[in-house]
Order: sequence, then C-alpha cells, then structure tokens
Amino acid sequence: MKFGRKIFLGLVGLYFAIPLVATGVFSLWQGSNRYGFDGYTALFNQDELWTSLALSFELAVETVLASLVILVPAIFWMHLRLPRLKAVFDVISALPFVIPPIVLVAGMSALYTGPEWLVSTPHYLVIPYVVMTLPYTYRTLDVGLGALDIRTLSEAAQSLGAGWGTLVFRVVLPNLTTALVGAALLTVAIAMGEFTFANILLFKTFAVFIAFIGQSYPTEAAALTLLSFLITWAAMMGVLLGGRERAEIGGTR
Amino acid sequence: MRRWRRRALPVIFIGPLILFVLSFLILPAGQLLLSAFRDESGNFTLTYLEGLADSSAAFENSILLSGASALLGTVVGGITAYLVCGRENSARSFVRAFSAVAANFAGVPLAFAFVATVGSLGMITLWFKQAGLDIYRLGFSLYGLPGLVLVYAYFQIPLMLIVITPAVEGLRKEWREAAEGLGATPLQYWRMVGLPILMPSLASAFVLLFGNAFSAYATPYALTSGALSLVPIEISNVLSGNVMLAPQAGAALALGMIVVMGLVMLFHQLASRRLKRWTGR
Amino acid sequence: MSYLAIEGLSKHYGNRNILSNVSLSIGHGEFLSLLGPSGCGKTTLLRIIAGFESPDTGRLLLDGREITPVSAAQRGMGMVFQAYSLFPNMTALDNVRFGLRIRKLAAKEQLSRARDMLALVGLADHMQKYPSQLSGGQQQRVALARALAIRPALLLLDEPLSALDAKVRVQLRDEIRNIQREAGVATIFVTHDQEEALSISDRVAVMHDGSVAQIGSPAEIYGTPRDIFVARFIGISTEFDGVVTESNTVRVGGVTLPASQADGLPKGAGVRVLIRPENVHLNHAGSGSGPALAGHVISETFFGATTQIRIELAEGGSLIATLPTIEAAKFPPATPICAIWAPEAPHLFLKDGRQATSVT
Repeated sequence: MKFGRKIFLGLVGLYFAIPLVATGVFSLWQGSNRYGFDGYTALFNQDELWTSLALSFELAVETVLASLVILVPAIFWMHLRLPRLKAVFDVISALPFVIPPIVLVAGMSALYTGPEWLVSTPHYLVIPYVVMTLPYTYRTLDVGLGALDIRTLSEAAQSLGAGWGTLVFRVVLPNLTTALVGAALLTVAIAMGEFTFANILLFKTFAVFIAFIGQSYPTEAAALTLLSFLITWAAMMGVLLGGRERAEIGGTR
Repeated sequence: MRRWRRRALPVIFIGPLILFVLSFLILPAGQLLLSAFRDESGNFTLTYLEGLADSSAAFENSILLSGASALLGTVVGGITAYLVCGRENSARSFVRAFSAVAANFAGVPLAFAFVATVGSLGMITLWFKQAGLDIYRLGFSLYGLPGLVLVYAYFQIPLMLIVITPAVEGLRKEWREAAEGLGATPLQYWRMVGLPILMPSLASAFVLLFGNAFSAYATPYALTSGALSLVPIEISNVLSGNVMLAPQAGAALALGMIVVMGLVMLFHQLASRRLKRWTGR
Repeated sequence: MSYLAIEGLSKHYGNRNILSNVSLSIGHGEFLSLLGPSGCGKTTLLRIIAGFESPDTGRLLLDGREITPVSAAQRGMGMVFQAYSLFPNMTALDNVRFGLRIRKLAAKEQLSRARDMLALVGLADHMQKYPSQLSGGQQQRVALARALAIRPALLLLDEPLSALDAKVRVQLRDEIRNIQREAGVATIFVTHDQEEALSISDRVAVMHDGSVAQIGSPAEIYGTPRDIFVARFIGISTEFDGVVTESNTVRVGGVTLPASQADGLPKGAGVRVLIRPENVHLNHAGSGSGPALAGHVISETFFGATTQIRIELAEGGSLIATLPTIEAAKFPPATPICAIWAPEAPHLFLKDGRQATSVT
C-alpha cells in the first residue's frame, strides 16, 4: 500500500516535471548536439517580444482598474444595503462560465462593429477581459467584503461622525487590501495569458506573439514557454502568499 | 433632496455593473440567439440550427475530449488529493502551490511545452527514436484526440486537486475509525461511507472539469492550428472566415455551446445542493 | 472475575512516553472511567484497547484470550467518539444498522435491532433523520445506539459528552449509565471531567503522565487519595507546609494541629498537609478551646445548599471552608474566626508526593 502510493505519486510527479524539463532542454538546443543560449539571445533581441509583453501588461493593469471600478461599488452596496441582490450577483458571476470566451467574442463581433476609435485599438480587449475575470474578481471581493461585516463597520464609522468618503477611503478600502491584491494578481495572470479574444480580434498580445513565434522558431518558443511559466508562477505565488486559502482557476485554455 | 439621494445612490453604485453585464455579456449572447434563427433577409428560420447536424463531428469530438480528460483529471487528481492530504505540511503546500500554477498554465505555452516534449520533433520523441522506438510510427500523435487528452490533463489534474482537496480533507478520521470499529474492511468503508460522502463533490468537480475542457480554445488551436474539429475551433474558423459558412452558422454553434455549458452549470448546482443537505450548511 | 486484562502496556511516540507499563483490569458489566488531565495518555490507552493503535510492549486479554494482535475491525468493540462520528450520508437508522450490515445479518433482524436500539436511546421518532438534522446530544445518542447494536464485547466512550452543553451533558451522562446497566456491557469511559467520572463509575482510574496513579471506587479516590497528584486533581483542598511534631500532630505555621496520618512518621519530618473545605470546622474567635488556626472571613461564594468561605489566616495564607448555607450565615465577611479539623481529616504527603501512611 505504502509502496503503491509512492509509485502513483512518483508517476504523477514525472508527468508534471517532464514537459517542463524537456522544454528547458529544448530551449537550449541549437541543432545536432550543440546546446547554448542562442535561442534566448535571439528572442530578447526581438522588439516584438517587448512590445507585446508591454501591451499585455498594460491591458492587464487596465483590466484590474476597470474591474475594481465596476465591481467594488456594486459589491460594497450589496453588502451594505441589498443582501437580497446576492443571489442575482451570484448568477451574473457564473455567466462568463456559461458563455465561454469563444462564444462571447462571436457575440461581441456580431453586435459591435463600431465605433472605430474603440474597436480598432487593442484597449478594446479590456472589455472582454473584465468579463472573463468577473467570476474570480467577484468571488474574491465578495469573500473579502463579507468578512469585513460592512454594516457594522459603516455604522461604527457613522456613529463617530464619518462621512461617506471617509468611510469608503479610510475604512473599507484599507481593510480590503488583501482581497484587492489577490483579485488583482489573479486578473493580471489571466490577462497576460489571454489568447482567444486577442487572436480572433487580431491584436498582437503576448500570447499571440508566443503563438506566432511557435509557428516558425521552435527554440525561441520553448524559451518563451518557460518565461510564461515563470510569470504564472510569480503571480500565483503572490496570490498564495497574499493569504488566500486557495488560488482560483482562470486562464485561457 | 433626500428622495433624490435614495434613488440615485443605488444607481451610482450598482448601475455600472448591471449596465456592463447587460451590454457585454447578455446582449452579445442574445444577439447570437437571434441571428441563429434569422436568415439573410431577417426572417425566422431553423435552417442554421438544423445545419448543426453537419457539425455533429465537432460536438462529438469536443464531448469525447472533454469527457475523457475530465474523467482522467477526476480519477488521477482525486487519488492524488487523497494520497497527499495525509502527508506533512511542506509536501502539501508544495502541491497546493504547484497546482495553482499548473491550473493557470494553459493555452499556447502549454501546447508548446508538449510540442517540445512529445511533438514529432520533441525531446522525448527523439530520445525514444535514438533508442529505436518511433512512437509516432506506433500510432501516437500529439495532434489528435488522445494527444489532446494528454495535454489537457496538465491543467485538469491540478484543477481537480484544487477543487476536491477541501472535500477530501473534510473526510473525518472518526468516520473511518467508526466504520473500522464496527467491523468494516477498508474496501467496505470506501464503498459504504467514503465514496458516497465524496460523490456529490466528485460529480460537481467532474462537470466543472468537463466544462473547463469543453470551452478550451487556445490549447487545441495552438496544437492543431485549427485542423482538428472541435466546437470552439469551428466557431473561430467561421469568425475568421477560414471556412465558407454564414455567420449565422457560427451563431448556431455558439448557441449549442451555451446549451452544453448551461447543462454543466445545472448539474454542478444540483450536486452542490445534495451536498448541502448532508452538511446542513 | 477480570473480563478485560491489560498487562504492562507501554507506548511512545518518538522520544515521548505516552504510556509506561500500564496494568488494569475490568470486570463483567463494570463501568470504569479513565480520568486525567489532557496528555496523560488516557485516550491513547482507549485507542489501544479499541485496536486503532498498537502498544510497543504489553498485552490485552479479553475473557482470557489474547487480543493484542487482533485488528480493530475484528475486535467487536463499540466505540463512541467525542463528536461528528456519524456517517453524514446515512439516516440515524442506517447509521445504527451499519455494523449489522457488515455482519450480514438478515435485513429484518437488522431493522428490528436498529429500531430497538434507537428506541432504547429515546430516538424512536428521529430514525429517518440525517445527522445534520439532529442536535449534538441526539447525535451522540445515535452513536451510542450504533455502538451497542453490534452487542460489543466492550463499550468504549472517548469523552462522548465533552462537546455538549452543560445541561445536556448531565442528562445524557445519567442516561448512558442507565443504558449501560440495562445492556450489562463492560464499559470504559474516558474523561477529563472529575464530576463526570465520580458520578457514574463503578471504579475510576486516575491517570497521570502515562501511568495509573490510583484506581478505586469514586469514594476511595476522593476520600483517600494515594498521592499528592490525585489529591490535587480531585476536588479542591487547601495546602500547607507542615512539620511532624508528635505521633499524632503536625505543626502548621505556629499552631500544632491533630493529624492521625502523622502516626509512624519521624519527628521533624517535613510534609504537605491537604485539607478538604468540607472538613474545616469554623468557630467564632475565642469561643473554642485548644489549638486552632486564627483568621478572618474575607469573602463568601453562594452555591445554594452550601456556601464556600474564604479565610485569611493570621499567619499568612488563606484557607477555604465549605459550610451548609445556614451555618455560613453566622460568619459574614470580616468575622474573626478560628478553624479546626478532625484528626483523620487532613491528608499528609511526603515531599516526593507519596502518601505519608504508605511509607510505613
């Protein structure tokens, strides 16, 4: 029994380790029996790597800000005044799961063909990204605000003569830091790797760049793959260290 | 003034979210629904929905792939969760951290990691070849359904671990000992107590994994460049004009996808309700 | 007479000794409590008897047959855990039936026996409920019925009342005793609550640091503690440092007081003197004759029939006395008093904790 457990866990471990190791070896391969960092130098000299990485990061940050602006007031109000609304919000937050990215992009491109200044810039992607990360952001903020007991906090603050602005900026937001950081990191991780929308709407984000590289430069693609694994790892460590019990599951499949 | 505030405040706080969800989630989905039932001149038609029959291969492949990878993920992830949960803390937090990363490490990079490993020129493939074993000649292909199942397992197993661990840790030592004290063998314990208690969690985890695989697009796209017929791939082919199909056909496919995912959510809800009755929460 | 015999049981985890050389026996139909503070090894001992853990050395004999190597599943002991041990996916009835299904009894027999058991614990109306629909006390009754349904060789109770409200705890405690008597099954009851142990047991084994400090009837344990640990752990008492003066007296502070246990101790030997509050007699200062501890009342705690009086002694330190409430009314706070006790009342212990008389 004990032996069987070790073998099983060992096999599972191998399954997860081998692709990473093989990718690492592959990224150093320079044909026949030569190995070196040529792939990495070639990769880092590509301007498009940096522009696409910068674009993805920019989009990720914008997504975080937009999500918070839209969600924090709504969830705050729900906890404060309209707990009945929770059922509705729960359903809303599950909708992006029922309407997957590929379906949403189909619907959005059928419905919105303009205005030109919006749909032709990559920043248009922020809208679907907010939708995609909605379940995770919503759940994090809901748990965070729920744990705060907004009602008591706001009554305490108001009994001390604090106004609305003071309440939100001096009481609620500081107490929400952990939840906000967790939600933000998760959003960044998802937005950085998002492929579906960007690929179909033809914007060159980081993930699209990886796909593009992969079609012609396998060594560089392997190097990029490792890089992207490290980015995911960093973001997830942030989420886990930020005190969240379990990291949620997002990402593009 | 007071009345104005009472009306305006909820709108200010909740309005943006409602408006956003309406414009960018409900309306696009509604648009698909409408266009799937309308022909070029705007008349009601069932042609496109009937046309889905031609895409039955895509649905079959998608369901087969999602089912197989979800089953693999449920079984391997479930057993791993059980084996790991009794271990020391450091092993558990490593597994927890790694599953969080691996569950999110998907899409294009994941596809390339597997191409570099067991693709036709992957490291493992080449090593095997040097050892005189050509796995591609033996019938393996990373670019077909079995290959995709192998790749999907990389995010399905960690996802299962994350989803099922609380339930597995919720199995009380007292239950096993009570069963043992009453004369049950380990097998009897699992058959009569352990598995029945886990069953709702396992079922809801399975459908979650199923939906997760069913809506996956980036991974199969990067692996097969759109050649393998899966529902998300077919939709994207219509959208990018790669195939000679009317946009309405894409809408019909998307509709079919919404129905499948809706069913998945429904099963998920039913399973959690069953669980609530036992836990009383 | 001994039904279960435990011989020389030892167990350690790492370099920590949990049990060292424990020997015990329990008779047919006897109710034995294992009482001790947390970490004294009582739960480990119970789990070894149940078969969930195995001892490093020593053996267990049930009715003369060695059961040390027998697995828990084969021992046929009925165990009731602290809490949450009911299978949440089964109704109360199915929980009670579980052991009978394992034993492959005929379905009819299973049902009728399970029903009888639930009726015995007073839950005839709750048979189809799931554990989550039952209160904590009801859940423990079901657990008791489940353990009894298999007609166990021994009933093992691991602090079954500790998770319950005070009121339910007392009620269920008495019921457990009645049901146990009715079923006539030998029972081992683990608890850290002395009141629980003393009130329902035939015998109590007080455990301390992995061994049995004393075993005896509740009255023996309370009335003649064998060492200072038992005396301190059971009930409350006031402690003094004393010196043996004559064959029947000890000097406490500046006063020489009667103590029959001083008999046989060398003159001048240092001892700890423990006196139970109900054995302290109070008189108004100056009214009594002979040697007594002088002091005055500082506070009173009302317990209904009795009242506890705290006294500050003239030579320092304090003394607790429990009097019937009517008596206590004569000594309001600040009253100067003198306290005495009967010669057989104080317990004397040597510096190493052993009881004074056991030396001789």
